[in-house]
Amino acid sequence: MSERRDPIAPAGGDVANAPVLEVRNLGVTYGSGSDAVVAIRELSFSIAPGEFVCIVGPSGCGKTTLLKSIAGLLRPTRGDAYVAGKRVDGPPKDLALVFQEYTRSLLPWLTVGDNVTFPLAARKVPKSEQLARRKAALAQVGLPGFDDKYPWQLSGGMQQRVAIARALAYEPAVLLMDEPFASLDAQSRADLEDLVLKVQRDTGLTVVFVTHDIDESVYEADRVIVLTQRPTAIRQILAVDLPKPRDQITTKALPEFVRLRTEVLKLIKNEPTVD
Amino acid sequence: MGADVPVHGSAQVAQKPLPSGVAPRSKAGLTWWQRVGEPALVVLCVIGAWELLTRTGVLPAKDLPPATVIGAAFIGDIQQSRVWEALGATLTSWAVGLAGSILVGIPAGLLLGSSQLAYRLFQPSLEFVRTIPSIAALPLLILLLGTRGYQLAAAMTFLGAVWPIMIQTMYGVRDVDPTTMDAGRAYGLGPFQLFIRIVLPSAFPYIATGLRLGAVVGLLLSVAASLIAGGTGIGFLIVNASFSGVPELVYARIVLTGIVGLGVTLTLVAIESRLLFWHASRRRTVT
Ligand SMILES: Nc1ncnc2c1ncn2[C@@H]1O[C@H](COP(=O)(O)OP(=O)(O)O)[C@@H](O)[C@H]1O
Ligand SMILES: [Mg+2]
Repeated sequence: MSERRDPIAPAGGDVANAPVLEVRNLGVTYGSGSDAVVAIRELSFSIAPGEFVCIVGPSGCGKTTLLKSIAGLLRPTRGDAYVAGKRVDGPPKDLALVFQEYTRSLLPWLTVGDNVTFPLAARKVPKSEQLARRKAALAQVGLPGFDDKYPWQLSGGMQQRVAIARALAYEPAVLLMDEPFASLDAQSRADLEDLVLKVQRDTGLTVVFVTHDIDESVYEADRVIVLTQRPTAIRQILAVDLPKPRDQITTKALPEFVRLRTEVLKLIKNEPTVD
Repeated sequence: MGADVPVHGSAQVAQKPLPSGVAPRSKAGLTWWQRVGEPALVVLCVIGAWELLTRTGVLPAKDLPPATVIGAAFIGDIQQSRVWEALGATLTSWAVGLAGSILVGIPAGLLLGSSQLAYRLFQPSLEFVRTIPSIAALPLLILLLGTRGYQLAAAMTFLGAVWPIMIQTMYGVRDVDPTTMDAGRAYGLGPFQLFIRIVLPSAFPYIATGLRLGAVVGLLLSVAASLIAGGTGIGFLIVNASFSGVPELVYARIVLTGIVGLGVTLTLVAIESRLLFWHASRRRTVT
C-alpha cells in the first residue's frame, strides 16, 4: 500500500495546483429567531482540480444545502465558497449540477437533445458547437442517437444519463452531484457509478459527489468528507487510496475497501475509530 | 360563474414522476366505438324518449315540441342567413372579448404569480371577485355601452373569461417546480431566460385550462348578453322566437348555440392535447 497522504489537503497538493473549489467557514441557518434551523454550523475544505470527492452524511444533515451554496443557488449565512478562485455570488459559469430528481431537473417539453443544449442555447453558443458538444456528451453517457426522444420515454437510469450529458456538454470545471443515483435500481446505479468514474478519468473533471450511501462514497472517491449530524460540521476527511480503475467486484472485495467503509460507518454512527 | 381554482382539468395531474410503465394514458385502451359511439347512442336514446313522450302526450307538446319538429325547425332555420348573421355577431363579440381577456388575463396572471407581493396583495380580492356572477355587471354595462353594438356582448365575454384565465395563469406560475427552476439557474439562465424557457412552458397546461374555461364561460355570457339585453346576437333570436310563439324555433336555436359551444370546446381540447403531448396526463409511450 502506498504511503498515506495528508487527507485534509487536496490530493496532489503542490503549489501550482490551486484548489478549484474552496469552502471557507461556510454556515447556513434557515429561518430566524425561535424558528431558526442551523443546517450547517461550519464547514471548510478545499478540492484540487481533477479530484473526485465524496461527501457523506446522514439524511437531513445539510448536504443539499451545501451543494446549493456552492452552486450559488443559496446564499450562505456565514462564510463563502470559491470556485476557480472566484467567490461564489450567483451560479458560477464553470460549475454544473446533477440533481437527484432527474424527472424534475429535466424539462419534459424538450427532447433529450434540447435538454442537453438549452443551457448552451441560453448562453448563445453557436449552433454548430452546440450540436457537436451534444453529440459527444450523449455518446459519453452511452446514449448516442437518443437526441429526438423525450426524457419521459426513457427509464430512470437513462434519464439520469441525460442529466449527466447536459452537465458534460456545459463543459464545467467542477461537477456537483447531489445523490444522483439514490432513486435508481441497483443495476443502473452500479452502471452509472462506473460511468461517472470513467468520464471523470477521461476528462479530468473535478467531481463533488454527495451521497448517503457509504459503499458508494468509498468506491467512487479519492477523498471522502464525512459530515456530522445537524448542526453540521466535518467529522473527518479520509483519503481513499484504492487502485484505479475501480471495479464493482474486485475493488469492493479489497480489505482496504472494507476497512474504509467500516471506518466511515463508524464515523457516521459516531462510534470511536481505531485511527 | 368563473372557475373553481385552481382548476387542473385533465391536463393537470401532479408533476411527480410516474413509475415507469404506469403512465395514465388518458382515455387509453378505449376503442373509437367506446369513446364516440356509446355516448352518441345515449344522445339518440334521449332524443327518442323525448319524441315518444311528447308524441304520446305524456309531455305537453305545445310547450315541448317533439324532437322531429325541433329538427325540422332547425333544418329550416339554418338555411336562412338571419341565424348565421346573429351567430356571427355573437361569435365576433366573443372573439373580441376573449382576445381582450387573454391580453389582460395572461400578463396579469404572470405578474401575480411571479411576484410574492402582488400575490399577497391581490389574491384575496381576486378570489372574491371571481365568485361574483359576471351577469351582475350587465345593468351597468348596458348603461355604459348601450345594447345595439357588439360591445356589450364583448364586454360580458371579457368579464367572464378574464378571471379563469388570470387565475389559472397565476397558479400555473406559482406551481413551477422549484427543482426545475434551480436547474435552470444553476445552468446560468437569467431571469428572462428562466421565464421564457421554464416558467412559461411549465405554466402552459394551467393557462390552456384557463383559456378553455374562459372561452366557454365567455361564450355563454356573450349569448346571455343578447338574450337579456337584445341587440344582434343569437340570444336575441332565441327570445324573438319565444315572443313569436314558435317554441320549436326556440329549441332549435338553443341546440344550435349548444353545438357551437361544443365545437369551441372540442377545438380547444384538440389544440391543447397537441401542444401538451409532453405532459404527464397525455403521454403515450413510457418504456
Ligand atoms: N428551505 C428550507 N427552509 C428551512 N429548512 C430547510 C430548508 N431546506 C432544508 N432545510 C432543513 O435543513 C436541513 C438540511 O437539509 P438538506 O440540505 O436538504 O439535507 P440533506 O440533503 O443532507 O438531506 C434539514 O433539516 C432540512 O429540514
Ligand atoms: Mg439532499
